[in-house]
Amino acid sequence: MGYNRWVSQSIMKRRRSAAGKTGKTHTLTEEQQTEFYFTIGPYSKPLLSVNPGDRIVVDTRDALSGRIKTEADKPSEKTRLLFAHPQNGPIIIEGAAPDDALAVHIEEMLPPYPPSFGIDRNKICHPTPERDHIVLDRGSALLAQRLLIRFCHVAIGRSKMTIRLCALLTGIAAFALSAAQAADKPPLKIGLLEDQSGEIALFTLPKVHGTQLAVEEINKAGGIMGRQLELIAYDPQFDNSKFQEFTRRLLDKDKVDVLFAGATSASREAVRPIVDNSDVLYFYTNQYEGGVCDGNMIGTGGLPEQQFSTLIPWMMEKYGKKVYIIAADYNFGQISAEWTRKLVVEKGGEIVGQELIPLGVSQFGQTIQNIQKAKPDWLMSLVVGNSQSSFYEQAPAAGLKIPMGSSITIGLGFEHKRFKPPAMENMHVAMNWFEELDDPKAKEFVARWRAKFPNETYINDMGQNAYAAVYLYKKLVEMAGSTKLGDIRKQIATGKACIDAPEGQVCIDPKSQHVAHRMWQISVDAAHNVKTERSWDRIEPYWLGQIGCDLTKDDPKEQYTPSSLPKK
Amino acid sequence: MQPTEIVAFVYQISDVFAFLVLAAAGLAIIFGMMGIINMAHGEFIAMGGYVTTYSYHAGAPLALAMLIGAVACGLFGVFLERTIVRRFYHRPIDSLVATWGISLIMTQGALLLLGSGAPGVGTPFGSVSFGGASFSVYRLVLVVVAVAVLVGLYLLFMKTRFGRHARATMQNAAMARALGVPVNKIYSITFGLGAALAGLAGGLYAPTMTLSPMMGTSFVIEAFVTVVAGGADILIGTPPAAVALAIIKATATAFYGQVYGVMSLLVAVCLVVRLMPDGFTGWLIRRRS
Repeated sequence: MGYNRWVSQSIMKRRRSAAGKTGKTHTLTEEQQTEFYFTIGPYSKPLLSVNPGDRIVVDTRDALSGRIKTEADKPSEKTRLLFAHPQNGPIIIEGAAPDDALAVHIEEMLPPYPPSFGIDRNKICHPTPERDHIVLDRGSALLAQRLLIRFCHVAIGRSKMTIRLCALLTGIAAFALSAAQAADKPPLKIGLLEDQSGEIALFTLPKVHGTQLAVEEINKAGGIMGRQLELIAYDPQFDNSKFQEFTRRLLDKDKVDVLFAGATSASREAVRPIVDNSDVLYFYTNQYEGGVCDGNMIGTGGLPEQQFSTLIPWMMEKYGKKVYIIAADYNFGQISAEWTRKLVVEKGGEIVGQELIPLGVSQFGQTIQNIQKAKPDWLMSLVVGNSQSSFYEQAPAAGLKIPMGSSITIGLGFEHKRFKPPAMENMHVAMNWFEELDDPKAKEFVARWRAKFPNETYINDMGQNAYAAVYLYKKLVEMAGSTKLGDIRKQIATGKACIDAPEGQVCIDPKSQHVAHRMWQISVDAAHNVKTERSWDRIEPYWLGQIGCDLTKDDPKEQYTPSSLPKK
Repeated sequence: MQPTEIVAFVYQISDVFAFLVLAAAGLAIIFGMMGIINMAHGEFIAMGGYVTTYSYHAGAPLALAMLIGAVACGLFGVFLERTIVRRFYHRPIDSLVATWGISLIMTQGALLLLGSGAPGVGTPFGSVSFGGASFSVYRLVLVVVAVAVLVGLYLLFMKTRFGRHARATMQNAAMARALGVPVNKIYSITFGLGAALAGLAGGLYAPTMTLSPMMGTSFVIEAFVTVVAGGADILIGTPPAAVALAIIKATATAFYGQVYGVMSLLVAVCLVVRLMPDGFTGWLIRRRS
């Protein structure tokens, strides 16, 4: 229907020399044809002469000239294969001259009855006889009952090759520092799972480096209780399911003695249930939203009572009581926002707006507008990852100049090194480590690190934490005289598990199995210099103990938040 | 609504419109011409960002650095087309896998060679205030550039000999080849053009973002959504699709935040695919005839 309309409006109809009129109808039957030709050329005499506009009804033959009449007929016997595709004609069109265009409109094609046979050449890869046959039926084409379809082996080979190639590409980068010392004492296996590529690899690579530095130093000094450390690391690439897969691999296949894993809270919560089912000690070395009360885990990063309870009252006193929060939309951002709300409201302030931002978002035009509309006194910024940190570039470009607070910028994200000044001006953070720390032990540690990793962009807090955590583990094993989780936890319970880290002395709190820190509150100026506003010698991780978590007595393996406290 | 709010709203819509157009242009051209879904699109964007940043730090003025980035990506695109992509023209699923493989190689290669990040370029031009809200001037420049890109593509495809050949190839490649159009060369140049546009987008947005080998991923969702909604023809389909999606996303983000902004975009494309399977291109063509 629509097709005939197209035909009637086509160039063929509009411009043809027959001017739209249909002429005579000719027939070209097999009797008239007598002999069929197999090439186009000047070798044959014309059989039929027609005028433009005429119709011709042609009896055609199948590709093998009708020689295959049953399924039993073999093409190799019955046909001469070079003489295939017999042509009807030649048909001369009166009045046609060189440079003319000939338009042929095929009105209808009907298969013959009774049906005849042919061969589908596409199904033959090699010129061997008797591949398969296609039976033509009136109105449809039937494939024969016994069907032999062969695809060219080349294609299969190619796809096989592709599969092999894919397997190579998605392979895991596993590297192990081999034990160089005496083979009589088996090595201690350290499992490490940190992103070496992906959305936050820029920040987590220092964790890998810190662990490597610590392992190298400890091995040079004789290892732990005479046993060398063997580092087994995989790259989960910011994929939580890979975190889980590699954790199982480290625990079941590699049988590590201790696990250091995860930067984001999401990855920690993905990994923790798996470790909880084992008796392997798990170090989580990042600052986070706090609240994990789990006997398998030691948290060595900063906590809200160390980072928020110090910073927020100061910011409110200095800048004002109206606060706007932007946070990454996953557990860390949500719970840290909850903590901010709790502390601001406790001190009589007001949250004038909050926006949760999905990871991977990099365009903040509307968010900046919303902040300006709400007119806060200062901004609590908990954006995470490479894409979201574009906020710090776009906000000043849009003219948003407002004091900012955070628990993860500068010390963790080193934005003051990545963005052009004065993007980070007026940013305030409280943290347990930053590379610019003016302390002789810290400076000496930085020098050692940069000797081994001269291209490190910045030694951030999680890098230092990762380094210190290996020494903390060494201390625990030496105190306990064993690597068993139960023995180690008995030592933690004494409250004497302390080491001298580059940041200062850190001790494990028995009730929460988190770490007391020296804390510094810093601010960034227009030239991106880091200035210390206040510092504390020691802030205990007191909150978990306060709400009732006591790992010396029982082990709930839960995470608590201000709105989700343990049931009394 | 007050005048300030209207201005702010229009600004936000234009901002998202520019982002969608620039992110999608390269992908739309390659898809419209060859039916190839270029899974390496994000990586071309990242490459443009990197070349621009490195050129800028080597001393080139920013605009020139962006042009260098676009050209470098274009040449690399032509190279890839000649070696890999041209074997997949009639195999859309295989071309997906092949270009995805290219994207993996580019991302991980960049990671290995260049590391996880690089110092960025500051956003130029500063800001302008209007009624209590302030706006980045550079983002207004980006809107102008997006419109210029669309106009430039129109002129290219409608007014030049290459454009005529390209459109002929898009309509019926076999016929075009029979009529003497150098179809393989057209494919190469078009793929290079698509790659160059992706590189341009990366270069244009590099001053506003953190540089990393994965930075292309923040463009890819928007690019694919716009191409699906726009359909195969970049001149007919992409502008109305970009406008419609920009209005939807800006409104959702303004009232409900970023989460709903991204969600609204994806819901919109689900609806578009259901109601207008060929995108705006198919819908407008049908309306015209």
